[in-house]
Amino acid sequence: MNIERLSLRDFRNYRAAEVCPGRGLNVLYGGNAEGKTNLLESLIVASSGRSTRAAHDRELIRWGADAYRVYVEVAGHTGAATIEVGADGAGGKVTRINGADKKAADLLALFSVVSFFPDDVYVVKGPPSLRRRMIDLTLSRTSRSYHYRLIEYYRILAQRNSLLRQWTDRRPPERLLAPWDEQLARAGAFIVRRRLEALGAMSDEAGRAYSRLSGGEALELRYEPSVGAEAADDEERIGERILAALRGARDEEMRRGVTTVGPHRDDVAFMIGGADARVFGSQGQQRTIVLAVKAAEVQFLESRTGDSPVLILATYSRSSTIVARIPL
Amino acid sequence: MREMTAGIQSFITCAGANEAAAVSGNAVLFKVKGGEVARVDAPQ
Repeated sequence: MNIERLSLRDFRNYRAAEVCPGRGLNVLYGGNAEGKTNLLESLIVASSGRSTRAAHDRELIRWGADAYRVYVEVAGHTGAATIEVGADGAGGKVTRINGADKKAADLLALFSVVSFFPDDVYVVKGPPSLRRRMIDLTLSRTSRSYHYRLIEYYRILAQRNSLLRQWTDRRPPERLLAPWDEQLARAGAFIVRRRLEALGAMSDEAGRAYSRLSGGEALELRYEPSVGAEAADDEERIGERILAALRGARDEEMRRGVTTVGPHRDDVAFMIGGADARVFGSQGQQRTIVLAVKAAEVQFLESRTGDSPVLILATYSRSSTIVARIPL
Repeated sequence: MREMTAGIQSFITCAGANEAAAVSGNAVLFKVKGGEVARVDAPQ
């Protein structure tokens, strides 16, 4: 996968810009707040329909402008395509591929980007939701069915939580909860199974990359399901575990009015020499873990899609060292 | 083993021209200033 051309209009601090990058390494240099990271951010937006640096699309619009647009011409093993994404201040969004209206899922499948921004260290030391998002985004780039199943799961979860909240002072009848339990278990088992597979596939490569970067330390990625699922479990068995866990959590869920088990409560552990780096890792170790995981993501996407993702390393001052040393 | 950037299109940022020169090799260089970006032959 290569970007042939990138065009920006009223995006962040860019009024209008056009870049035709090389097919290998591209180096953006300049002082602070000149627009280097903004330019890289535009690629993230084009590859997923949203920015990880902005809470709202309107933050991406240049001050004084009404709307922004990002155009990216990409060429991969399946051919060439033109992506157009944008938004206006009133909440209107544009997502087009070759001029036709599309959804974010289509961007994820078409244009893979693996990125490392300084704040990504929070993937290790931050809340579990960031680690779930990391694995969900990677899987969504390799499988539309995963992306849509994830959306379905969270829709079922919202409806089940709504039911729980309606009955906070008394227990809802089983006949009302049971259908939601079964739907949640079915969609949840699909998600957990694929996360287990992906983490298993990425752990070895991340371990190799981490060992090279750290001078020999061992890293293991470990999926931590809230329902006790194991790597050997098939989807049916995981579904049974989720159902059993939901039934076992009835009293707590009645009290709290939320669903307390399922893939939305799962986590990923980063183990260094048997110690949990989320808690015990130094800042340097946590940063190196993220880079190692990114190396594993690159290989995972290549193996699953047959195409290389575009790699973004917004690494600032240490970029030369990192680029020179990081292995695949 | 190969470097992370080998064989795939990649983008990195550097704070200044000196650092850009140190990592550039066969890279394509872009100077970014004030919301404008320009391709350059060598760090300036």
